[in-house]
Amino acid sequence: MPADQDDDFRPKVIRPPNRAKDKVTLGGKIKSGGMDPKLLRRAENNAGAMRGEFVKVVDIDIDGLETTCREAETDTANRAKRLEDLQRLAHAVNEIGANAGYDLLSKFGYSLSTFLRLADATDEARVNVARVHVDAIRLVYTQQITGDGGEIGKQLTKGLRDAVSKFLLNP
Amino acid sequence: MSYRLDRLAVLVVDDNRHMLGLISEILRGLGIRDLVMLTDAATAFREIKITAVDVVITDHAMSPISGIEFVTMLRTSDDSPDRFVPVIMVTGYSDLGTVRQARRRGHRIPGQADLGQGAIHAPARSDRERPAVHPEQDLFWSRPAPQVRGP
Repeated sequence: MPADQDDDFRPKVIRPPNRAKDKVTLGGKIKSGGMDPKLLRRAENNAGAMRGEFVKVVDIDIDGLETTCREAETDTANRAKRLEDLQRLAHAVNEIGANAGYDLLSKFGYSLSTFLRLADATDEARVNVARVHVDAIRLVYTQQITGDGGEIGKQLTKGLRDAVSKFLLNP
Repeated sequence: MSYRLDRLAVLVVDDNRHMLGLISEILRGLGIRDLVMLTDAATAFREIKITAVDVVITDHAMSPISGIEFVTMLRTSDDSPDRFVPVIMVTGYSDLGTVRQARRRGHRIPGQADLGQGAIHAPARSDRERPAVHPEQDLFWSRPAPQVRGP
């Protein structure tokens, strides 16, 4: 035991107040029952009713993705900044795509966003990988491929995977 | 008798107005009326000093202050008004590294940004039961193994 340690030291356990729990259980009066299923259904219906709004936004985000990708290709002096912008836009496509019912779009947006955030690759390879993702995202949207896209979705996914492998092996 | 969610005051922070609108509609559906909706973390930190809230819901990928930085401010800042306020993080980054980072900074429940129909029951289940929105096989490249550091 270190010499400077107090023999009488007693740890103090801090139990922070759980205000949220006290409120929703009326100070512990509600012991069971959990969430009201009617409210959960209402919340899900509210979320579902917003799908149309998300479909409109997907279009705007894909346009932004296309423009920023082109800038990353041509504006080599500011490429790092453009790729950063592209990562943020891809992340937005991931989130908005999922909520608009475009699961494949969301999957491709997630892949691009995560690649630009975490992958160890040259800027040249990053731009090339971004381009194949953006083209795939554009295709999914123009063809209005919702959900996972079935057989077309599988083919697109394989095509994208092959293209990315090619660029990462030959940057 | 079911939980009285209508008694909660909730602060929601997300720099994407559409996601903010979606979360707000979901919370209203759950009966919560006392909502503060903001698009940046700095304003949210100022607001929470004025308005007492019971739960904070924050996005992860925000700029200039990220969701992780916002929670660090709430948990450790000398002028934080409530270091123990429960925080739910909503993120499209459902990968292991991000979730671990969020937990280390003091998030109770990392949530997922796909909040469409069928997703709202998810937080009622444990994290282990909940699959990631995008599993690892959705990536088209090999990524480095997540770095695990101590708390």
